[in-house]
Amino acid sequence: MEKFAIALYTNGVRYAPSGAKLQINTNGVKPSAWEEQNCRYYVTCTWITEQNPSCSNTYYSSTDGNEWCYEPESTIGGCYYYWRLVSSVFDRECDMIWVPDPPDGGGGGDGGGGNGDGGSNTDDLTFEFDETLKIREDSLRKYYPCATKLVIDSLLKIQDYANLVQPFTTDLKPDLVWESSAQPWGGSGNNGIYELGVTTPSTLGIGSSATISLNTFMLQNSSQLLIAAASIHETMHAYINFGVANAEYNQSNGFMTTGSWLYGLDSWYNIHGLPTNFSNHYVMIDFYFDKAVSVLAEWDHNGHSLKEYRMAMLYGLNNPGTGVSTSQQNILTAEYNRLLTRGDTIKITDLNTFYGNHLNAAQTAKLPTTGCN
Amino acid sequence: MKKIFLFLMLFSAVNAVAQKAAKVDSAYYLLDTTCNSSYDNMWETGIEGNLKYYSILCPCLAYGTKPTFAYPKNDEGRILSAEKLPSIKLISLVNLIEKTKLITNKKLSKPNAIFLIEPFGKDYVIHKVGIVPPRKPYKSVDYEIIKQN
Repeated sequence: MEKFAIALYTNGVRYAPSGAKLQINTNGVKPSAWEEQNCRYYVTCTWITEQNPSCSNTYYSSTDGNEWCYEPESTIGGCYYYWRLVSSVFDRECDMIWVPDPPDGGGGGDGGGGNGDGGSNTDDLTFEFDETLKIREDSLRKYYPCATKLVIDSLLKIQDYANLVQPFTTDLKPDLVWESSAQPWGGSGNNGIYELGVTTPSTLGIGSSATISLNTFMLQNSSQLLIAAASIHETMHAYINFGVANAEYNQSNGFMTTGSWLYGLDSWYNIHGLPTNFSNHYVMIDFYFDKAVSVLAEWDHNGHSLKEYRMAMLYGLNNPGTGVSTSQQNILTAEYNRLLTRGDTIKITDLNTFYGNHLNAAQTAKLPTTGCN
Repeated sequence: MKKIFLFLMLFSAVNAVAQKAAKVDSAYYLLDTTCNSSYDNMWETGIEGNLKYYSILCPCLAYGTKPTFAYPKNDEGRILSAEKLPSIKLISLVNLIEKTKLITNKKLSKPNAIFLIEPFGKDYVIHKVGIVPPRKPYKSVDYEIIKQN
């Protein structure tokens, strides 16, 4: 079944469809794929000499198994030569690595493991929770210790969520930094805008780190359920950015001719200049929504209904950000509406009521302000 | 368990294409962070994921981004003897930035390769590096407009 989307995929291989650039067939999408990694480079060097009148013009070529052209011996053929390098042609040899989604490393180096059968490999997606995880949440903990203890740290114990933050869990970059800041929170001065949080990718290094800033008004007024949903949502922004940053580096340097679907899809989005917020939310709706809902339900120990979890995870997803065309907004809205009518139908009035109750929640539903240190 | 396969078929195919490949313009930059020259102090280096990166602290590229180069952190590079170094034509920092700008703006017709050379004991080590493409700065936009009755 075809539907409107952004790129056309067949078995994880992307290409830009001509004439129908917004059409997609997702039937063949695979969650993982083989990728070229650990490429070794070789160079074929051709040298010429024509400066020694006692010897004829001589060419000398070699492929010496590295990427550096070494000048030939000066006395090849019995004459003394002055060599001039006239060409150096690069070649490469790569390992084919099975990359799961999420990938277990950055670009240009080690990839994931797996059985390579092209089917599901959930074993590769597992990630052991480790109490020594280095998610940098000091800034958030300083002012909102219950947000880190009851929300972030609890989410980290859920496998699917831990998979999303796995790239950020070493002592080295990329980092995922949590903090809080005042952001728009309703009222006429904000035109009714309620912002739950902001994710900002780093502009340093490869650009795969990110900072998540949760709205202090949300932390003080909203239900724990909505705070957890916002935390999952912002984490997905950080994770998608991680994929995009590595995909762009790999592709712009020719390190990858194929790609796992997330890598390929996101780099395609950016290479063609699509608005980032639009593409991020599109990916969340189409590929991560169900996983996000199940994480939220597990975090909440199924204390609410499935419909409520879905409404919480829908927050902000229909927002394409700035600089989008009408057709892009329509595409995102179509995908969003598809979620509304799936299963137990969600009406706009349902959403308004739910958001009204959870943005400014009853005291018992809010984060506690003590007892979390 | 990781299974690694040598992709022989692709290698053969690439070899066949390589006969017609264009000449690669190579640029070599000597980066000596032990030096106290102002140019060598303009670099920031670190490890991010599986990459070791080198950034020039200058917002010279598109969107005010810094020229950043990287190679796999497990790439040991190639040793270059101190005697061999004078035979290499090195480029200046200014020219490296200019070349990076041209490459990232896709203004060069020929394939290009950039190599960083660093001191390694008495000798040097040379790495072929990739360029981190400039990205437009971005902040997520995650709000709903809730009209009060």
